[in-house]
Amino acid sequence: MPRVAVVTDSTADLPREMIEAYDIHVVPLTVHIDGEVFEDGVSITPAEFMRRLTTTTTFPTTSQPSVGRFQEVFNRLAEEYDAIISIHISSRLSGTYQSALLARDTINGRLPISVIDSRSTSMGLGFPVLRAAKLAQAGYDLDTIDRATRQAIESTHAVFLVDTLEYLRRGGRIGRAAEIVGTVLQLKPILRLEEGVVVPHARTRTRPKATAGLIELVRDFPRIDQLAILTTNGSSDAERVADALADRCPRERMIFAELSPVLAAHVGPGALGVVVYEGDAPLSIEEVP
Amino acid sequence: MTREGARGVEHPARGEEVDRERRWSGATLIGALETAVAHFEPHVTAVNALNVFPVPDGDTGTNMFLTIQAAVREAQRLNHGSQARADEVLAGAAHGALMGARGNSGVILYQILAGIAESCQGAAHLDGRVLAAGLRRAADLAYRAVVNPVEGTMLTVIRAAAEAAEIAAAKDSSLSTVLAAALDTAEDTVRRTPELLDILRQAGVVDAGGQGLAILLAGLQRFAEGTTLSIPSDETVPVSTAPAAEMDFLDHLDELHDAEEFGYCTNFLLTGDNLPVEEVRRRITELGTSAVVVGDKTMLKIHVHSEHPGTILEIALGYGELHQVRIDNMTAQTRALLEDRHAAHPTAVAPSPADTTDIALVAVASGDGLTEALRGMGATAVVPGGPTVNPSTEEILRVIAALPQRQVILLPNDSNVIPTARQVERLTDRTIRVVPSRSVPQGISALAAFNFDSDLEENVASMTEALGMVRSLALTRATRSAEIDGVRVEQGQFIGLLDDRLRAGGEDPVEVVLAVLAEADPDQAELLTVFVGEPASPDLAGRVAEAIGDAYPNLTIEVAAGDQPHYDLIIALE
Repeated sequence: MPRVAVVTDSTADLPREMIEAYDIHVVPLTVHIDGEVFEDGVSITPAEFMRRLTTTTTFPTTSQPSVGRFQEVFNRLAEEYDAIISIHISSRLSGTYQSALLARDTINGRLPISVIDSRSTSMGLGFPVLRAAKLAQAGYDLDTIDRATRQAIESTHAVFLVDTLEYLRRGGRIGRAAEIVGTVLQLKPILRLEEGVVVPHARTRTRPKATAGLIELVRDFPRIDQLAILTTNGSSDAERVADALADRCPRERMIFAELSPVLAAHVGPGALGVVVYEGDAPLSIEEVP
Repeated sequence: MTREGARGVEHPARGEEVDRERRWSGATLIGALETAVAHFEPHVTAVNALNVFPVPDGDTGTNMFLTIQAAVREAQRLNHGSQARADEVLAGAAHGALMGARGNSGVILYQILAGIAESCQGAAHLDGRVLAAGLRRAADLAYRAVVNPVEGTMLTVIRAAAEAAEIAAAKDSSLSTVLAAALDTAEDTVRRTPELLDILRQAGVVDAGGQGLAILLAGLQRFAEGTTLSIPSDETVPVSTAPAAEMDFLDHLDELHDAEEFGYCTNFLLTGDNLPVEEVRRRITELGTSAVVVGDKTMLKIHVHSEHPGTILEIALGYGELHQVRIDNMTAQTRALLEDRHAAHPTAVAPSPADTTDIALVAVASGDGLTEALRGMGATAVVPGGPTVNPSTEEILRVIAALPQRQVILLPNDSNVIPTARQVERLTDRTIRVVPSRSVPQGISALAAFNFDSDLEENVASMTEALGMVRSLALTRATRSAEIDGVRVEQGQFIGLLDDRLRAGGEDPVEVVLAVLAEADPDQAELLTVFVGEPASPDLAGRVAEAIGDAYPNLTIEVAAGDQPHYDLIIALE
C-alpha cells in the first residue's frame, strides 16, 4: 500500500484534533507584529494575536514559508513516505505555493511530490486537505488523491465579511474588491474568494445587514454537505449564522474555527467567514485500492 | 404672401401680419417660439415662487424656461431658412425639449410639444385646427406620461386649454382665435387649481406648471397679435446650468484627452509598502503625455498616454503591484464616444464601444461631500444636480455616453428628477433602468443593496426594494411663512422634513431635528448618517449628533460632509 504524506500550510485553519487524527503536516507562515516575528499558530495563538491586533497602532505583515523550510519538511517526509501531496493557500494571495514548488524542484527525483494551488484559503483550503488526508489514510495512490483534491477544490466556496476593508487594502490582498474602497461612509462589505482572489459580492451599511447578506449568499448554494464557520476573536455572529443555516446543514456537519493569525492580519478584527463544501465527488471503481 | 426674413421681423410686412394671425410657416413658428421664450423669461422668478412647500427645491419656472429654450435652440439649429415647414420646426423643437427637459414640468412641456408636432406632421403650416388637434394630442400624451395624474396641475390646464381650442377651431380655424381661446381657458383653469388640489389651497398658491404653461401660451398669442420679442443671447442667459459632470478618476478621462490624441490611454492602480511618489511621478511623466499620478505611499492611481503601454507597466512593476489595469486605444475610444453621443439622436444607430457585462450606477446629487459619499457607495458617476438645480435629460445622457458599461442603473435622488431620468432610456442604445430614489439617503440605501453577483434585473429589484428601508430627513429654512399639514412656520425659521413632507418648524435646529426624528421610528433603525450642508453653522452637526446620541443610545451615528446647497442637514435613517 503506497504511503502518501499530506502537507498544507497554517492558513488551512483545520482544528487541531483533525490535524492529528488525519496525520496532516502543517508548514507555518510567519506573522510580524510590533517588530516581533511569530510562526503562525505555533508561537502565537489566534486569541493572543487578536489581543495584540486590537491594541497595536501598527498594521501587521505576513510572509510565506521559505523554500528551505519546505525542503526540510519534504526531505523529512521522504524518509517515511512514498509520495507527498502539498496543498496551499491561493498563489494569488501568498507566495507559499511558489516556495513549495521551488522546494519540490530542488529535491526532484527523491519521491513524487504533487504541489497544488487551492485558489482559496482557510477552510476553503482545509476541506480539500481533509479530502486528501482521508484518501491517504485509506491507502489511495498519489494520482487518485491528486485528482480527488482538485475536485474538492472545485466543490469548495469561501465567502466572508469584514468590518473594515483597511486590512485587506494595507496588505495588498484586496483584489477586485478594491472597487469598494475609499468610502466616507460606514461600509460592511460581503466578499468572496473566486479563482484565488478577493472579489466583492455586496456593500452593506451595517453589521446585521452584512450578516444577513452572508447567510443569504450561503443559502443560495444548491448543495451543502459541510460548512465551516470562521471567526476572529470568537465573533458572536458565528452562532447566529450557524442557527440560520441549521436547516441546510446539521450542526454536526459544521466546523467552527478561528482564523489563523496570518489570515486575521489580512482581514482584521470582526471578520466572519463561511466555507461551503458541496461534498465528495465519487471515485471511480478502479481507483479503490 | 409671407416674406419674413426679407424685411426683418421687427418691421413685418402687412401681408405677413395678416398671415401671422391665421397660420404660421416654419420660419414664422421659430419667431413665435422665440417670442414665447422671451416673454417667459421675466416670469421665471415669479413661477419659481409658486412652491407648495416653503423649501428650496424644484424651481418650476427655471425648469420650464430652460426646457423651452432648449426647444427653440434646436429648432433654430436645424436652420431650414425661410422655406422651413412648420412640421419640421416642431419636430426639431420637440426633440430639443426632450434633450433639455428638466424636472417634472420640463418633461410635461416636452410631451406637449411632441403632441403638437405629431398632429402637425405633413403640414407646412400650423393653423388653428392643427393647433387644436395638437393640444388635444398633447393633453393625452401628458396624462399618459404621468403614473398617477393629479387634477389641479399642469395636466388639468393643458386639457382644459385643448378643449377650448377644439371648440374655437370648429368655428374659426384662424390661429390667433384658437390661441386666444386656449389662453383664456388656461388662465382661468390656473386660477381654479387651488380648488382642485388641496395642497395648493393650503399653501395659498396656484399650480406653478399650469401658470408656466399659461405664460407660454400668452407669449405665442402676443406674437400672433404682431409683437415680436427676441431671445436673450447666450451670454445673458439668466439661469446657470449645472457644471460638467464629475466622474470617477478611472472611468472618465475625456477632459485629459485632446481631440487629435493618439496612442494608448493607460490607467492602473499601483500598490506597495513605501512607494516613492515623486520618483514614480517623474518617471511616468517622462514616458508619456497627459500623466496624472495621485495617491500616497501605499497606493497610487496612474493615468498616462503612451505609444508603449507595456513599458509603462513594466516600470511600475518595479515599484509594487498593479491593479485594475485598463488600456484603451484612444483613437478607437474617441470614435466610439462620438458615435455613442450621436446615438442620442433616436434615428442614429451606434455600435457598441466596448463589450462589458458590468453595470454602471449613475446617481444625481449636488455637493462635493454627497458626490464623494455616493461614489464611495459604488456610484460609477454622479451627475451634478438635485432639488434646486434639476439636471436635463441631455446632461444625464452625456454622463452615460462617457461610460464604458452597456447597462446603467439611474438613481435620480429627487422626485423632480425621476421624470427626466425616465426619458433617458429611449435616447440611448444602452440598457437603462431607473430606480426611483427620491432623496440622497434613498440613493445610498439603493447603492448598498447592489449585488456584484446579480444581473441587472435582480439588482433593480433589490435596489428598488431598498428605497423603502431608509427614512430621509432634511433640515432647511422656510423660504416663506406658511402652514402646511398643520405645521405653522415663519419665513427664515428652521424647518424639518421627513420623506419630503413638512413635519416641524422652529428657531432651534436641534429641536426641529429631534421632533422630526421622533416620527421616523428611530427605535427600529440601526444607523443614522448626517450629511452637513453648505448653510450649516460649524457646530450644528456636532450638537445634533450629540442630542440624537443622548436620546437614542442604540443608534450608530456617523457624520459626513455633504456640502449640499440650501439644506443645512440631510439625514439618512436606516
